[in-house]
Amino acid sequence: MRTTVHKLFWIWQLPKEEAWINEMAEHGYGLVSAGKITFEFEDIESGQYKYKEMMLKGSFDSKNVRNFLKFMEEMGVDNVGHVSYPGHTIVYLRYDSSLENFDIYSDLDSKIEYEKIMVGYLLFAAIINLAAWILNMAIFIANCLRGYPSYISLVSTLSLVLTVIIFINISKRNSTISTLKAEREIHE
Amino acid sequence: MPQQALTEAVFYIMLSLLKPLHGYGIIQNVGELSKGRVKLAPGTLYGALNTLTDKGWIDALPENPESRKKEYVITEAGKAVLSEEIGRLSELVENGRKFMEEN
Repeated sequence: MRTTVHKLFWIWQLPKEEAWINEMAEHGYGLVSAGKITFEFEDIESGQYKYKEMMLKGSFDSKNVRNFLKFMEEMGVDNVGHVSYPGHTIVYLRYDSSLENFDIYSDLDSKIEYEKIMVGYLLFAAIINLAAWILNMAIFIANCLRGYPSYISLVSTLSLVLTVIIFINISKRNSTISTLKAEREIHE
Repeated sequence: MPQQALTEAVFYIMLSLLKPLHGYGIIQNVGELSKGRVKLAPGTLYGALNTLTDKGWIDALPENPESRKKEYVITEAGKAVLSEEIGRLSELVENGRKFMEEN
């Protein structure tokens, strides 16, 4: 039986989304297709599969993504869905959970690369939010100067709060990148 | 200019490709060579194979229509790099042993 679930995850919440998909698989729901907010599951044996989400450079039809998925297929890793973003594609990979200690990536460079992509997206989101806040504040100040009744809108406050949250997240990810780089200097 | 040290994973991949192997075969061979200590993940292997092919250290063999799996093999340039790395590693081990015994 197929079950459709609508759930929103932001692009920087890949690990959270992946953990949720794997939790669903533990409960006997195996992912068969994914969209931006739509996930389709089918009944599977509890814990039969494990899932991994990856962000790849290029569109889904690009040579880079196609070659990668073909290689993964040779390894027994199936692609069950994808979501396209400008310049990148998120692919949903499925593999048999009997493969012990299996991970799609084992080296530090790949982890650093993923964190860098995330920082790029977050920086873009932070700039958009900051611009929205500046615009709202400019309107507020202009209205005050003209003597019009004015107030700081909810949207403006939210933009500022979101910008701060995003910058905190960027800072955490930069710290992760530094730690991984330090580790790479010693171990690779 | 002396060549930079190879990572452990790259060293074992190149060593495995002294005979033609496909991706899964490389993972198995690296596991056996390192007695299970080095576990290559497919994503890591994919990146390494692309980089090594671009450098001309390994080659992808023409695809066999019977097997959909792509096979790779080390090139002469790759063998030279591998030899140089073995020399560097030997020097490390030799110096390590010598200094440990002396101190």
